[in-house]
Amino acid sequence: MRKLWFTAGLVALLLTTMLLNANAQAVVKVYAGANGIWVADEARPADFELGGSAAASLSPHIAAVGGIWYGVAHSYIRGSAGARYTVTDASDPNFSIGLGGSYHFSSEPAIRPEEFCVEAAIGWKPWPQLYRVTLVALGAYGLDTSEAHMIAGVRYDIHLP
Amino acid sequence: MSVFDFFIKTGLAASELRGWLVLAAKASPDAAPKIEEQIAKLDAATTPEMLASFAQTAVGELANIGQGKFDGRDSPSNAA
Repeated sequence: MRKLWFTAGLVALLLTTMLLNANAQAVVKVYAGANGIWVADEARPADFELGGSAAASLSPHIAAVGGIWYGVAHSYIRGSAGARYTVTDASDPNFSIGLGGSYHFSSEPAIRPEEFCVEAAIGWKPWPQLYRVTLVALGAYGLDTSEAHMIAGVRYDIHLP
Repeated sequence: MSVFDFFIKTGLAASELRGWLVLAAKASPDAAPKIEEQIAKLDAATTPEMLASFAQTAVGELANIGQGKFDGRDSPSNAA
């Protein structure tokens, strides 16, 4: 649990630093959202999650990313913090694919292991009139457990002042 | 873990995502053309040649970030 709060604090500190740096041309986004999460071969239970994520894009392709989620059915808190590289057109605000890695932390490691994962993610804004809504999907592979998991969800962009 | 291992495991994560996108395309015929377009982009982006090319670009961008030169974009995949 201590590791969870430490990592959450680190993410918050990073984002706050970005926001306070007036000269920074970073694009900082904070999202509320919901996920379905499934583990390959049903090695661990699936769940429905509520929570939020944040991203600080630091260069055309590189971003610091993180999120905190609550598993509704199994009552856990899961989070991640890491980096992502956009491998499609970085100037397209409606669709992109990103590859990267995150450290995943959890209040219930038996359900959601704590480990470093490599990730492939897709983000898609299918409705231009609902420009704050993004559909996302993410495939991740845990380096310790060698387990893959998949997330599909929706994000709502909370505009920062 | 070597850089080579990292690329292989990133490919495994991408394969997982690809498998689910294929299922989604089968389950939703209306959205299938768009999803198949996304699968094609994912396939193109995860070839060893492209991954090596991304690594080169990343080194240059990391150098800029290290100097405090930020130039961010709004990439929807960062929301995942």
